[in-house]
Amino acid sequence: MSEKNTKIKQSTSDKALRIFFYIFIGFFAVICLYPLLLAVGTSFSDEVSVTVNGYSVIPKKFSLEAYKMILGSLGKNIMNAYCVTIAVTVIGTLFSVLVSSAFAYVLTVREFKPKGALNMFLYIPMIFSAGLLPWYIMCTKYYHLTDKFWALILPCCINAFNVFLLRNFFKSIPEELAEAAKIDGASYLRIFSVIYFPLAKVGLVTVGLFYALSYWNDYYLALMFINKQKLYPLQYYLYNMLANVQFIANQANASLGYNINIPLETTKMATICVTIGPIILLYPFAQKYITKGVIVGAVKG
Amino acid sequence: MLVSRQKQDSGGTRRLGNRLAGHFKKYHQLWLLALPGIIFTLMFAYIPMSGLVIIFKNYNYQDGIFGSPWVGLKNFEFFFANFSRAWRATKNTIILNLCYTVFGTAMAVMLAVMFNEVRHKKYLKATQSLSIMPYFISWVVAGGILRALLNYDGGAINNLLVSLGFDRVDFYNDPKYWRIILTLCNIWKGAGYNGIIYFSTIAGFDTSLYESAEVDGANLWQRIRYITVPLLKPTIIIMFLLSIGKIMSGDLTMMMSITNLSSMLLETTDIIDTYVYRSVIGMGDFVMGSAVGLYQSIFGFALVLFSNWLVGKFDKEYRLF
Repeated sequence: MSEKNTKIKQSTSDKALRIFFYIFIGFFAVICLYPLLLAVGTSFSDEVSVTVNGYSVIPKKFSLEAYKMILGSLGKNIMNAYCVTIAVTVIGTLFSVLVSSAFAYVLTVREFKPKGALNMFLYIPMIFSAGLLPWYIMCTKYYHLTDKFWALILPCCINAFNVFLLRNFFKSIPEELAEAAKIDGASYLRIFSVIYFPLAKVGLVTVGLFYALSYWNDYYLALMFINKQKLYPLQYYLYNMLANVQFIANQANASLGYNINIPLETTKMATICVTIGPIILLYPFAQKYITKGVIVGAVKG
Repeated sequence: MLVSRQKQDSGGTRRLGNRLAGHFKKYHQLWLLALPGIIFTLMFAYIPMSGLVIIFKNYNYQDGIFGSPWVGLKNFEFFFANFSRAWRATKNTIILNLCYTVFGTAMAVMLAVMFNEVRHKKYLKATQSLSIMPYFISWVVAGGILRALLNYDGGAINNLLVSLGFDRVDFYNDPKYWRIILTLCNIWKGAGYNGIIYFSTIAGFDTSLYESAEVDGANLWQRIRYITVPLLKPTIIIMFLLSIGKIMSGDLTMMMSITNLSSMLLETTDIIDTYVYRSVIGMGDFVMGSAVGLYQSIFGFALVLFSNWLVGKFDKEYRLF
């Protein structure tokens, strides 16, 4: 009933304002989407028409040249980069979720006194860090991470924000369950694996998605530690492609053995599309959890 | 209570040892669960902190951080003599972060207020989904697409300018546009996501306030102006104060992906992080790199303490520690 009332009472100025809001939001949404459409449109364009007419959402002259390039002469390298990224994302996410959830569980055990100190221990690096240089020297000189697969995972495998997020999810599980299990003689390890881990499924998926997203999108670690092209993740491959015109030419020539005309711009855009493809596909699923995570995290970070 | 516990402890190391043994007997599984997290945090956060001693050393790769000879304060002399080189990076970092915070927050709050007034569920869902999409996209991809927008030849924005009768703008060779461009990039990537955070805060407000305002004849603008905005104010102020603590830190990957560290643009885009990266990894200049990195860490830490103190003045509930 009240809804009906407000509809009747809504004055024209309210209506005008609301229409403005609708338009503004719509406009922002279009701006968010437009660059992605531009990339997709250009990737399906003919290279010559892009040089002449410029980039556009709707291809002036349709062509699959760029994708042929990606699957053809660049295919082996891009496939390799794809595999590295997938391996890093899958292994890294599983690993990170395990490490983080175990730590987060410890932070929720009420009778465990040192948990305050552990909280602080995890929190301090969030506000004070040594900076790039000592970290870089430590990782390369002392941990010997240069050109190792694990260099793409370990340095960022535990994120304090995600641990605290998980802790918030764990805290919403009624403590009586753990108490009852303890009385029945269950160990902490058992309580964690049988009660907390399965019951906080939403939290684990949310945090897992956060981790997966950061592994998928990361090129910082590759930039720091990876020289061998066999270990280039997709984002780093793309970075080199975009930053260095010669890179893409070398890539194509190396695998073909002779000089060819490369559809440069469209190939870049096609690689971009291939890079974000899985994210866009998973997006409807991921978005639901991430928004939930944002809200849980915002309640008390 | 503290005193009595101390008395117990002073009973001797044997009793302390017993207590520790008892503690570990009872809790060893918890320590085991926390162990991987502890190890990785130590390795990649705490141990590098000890590497900050590099500032007092004449670093060479062979001897490493701890083996290199001590030089006392000599590096600082060099640092202050060359401070003008680092000053530009510091200035850019602060200006850009201020732009990000002020305009980013303004946009996020505006979006949140507007989301809150959308009465069509499907429209709300569709626009929200699209608005947070850029949050999922990496900076590398964003930087690549930005080129398609800003390129001198054929870039979508230059094409638009030409069709409107203006001259082309050579964005990638002119540093004066880049503070605006970087701020817009930041808004594009994060405003939708932050808008949802503010939106969820607004959704938690007491609806009876709005209902009674409506009964009293307040129109939509007045309800926003006198209810939503004042209620949001504490959150906005706290977010702003907390961002002061991060004003010295920059995003290396964002800058590299978007400007490619182009020397034409360094005037406005060289931030502390890119400066350190360029001087150390590009030119092997460890002295300046480590000195600037150190003062970034120290000032950053002081600013975090300062902003935390300010937040505490404002509302004790929201203090970080």
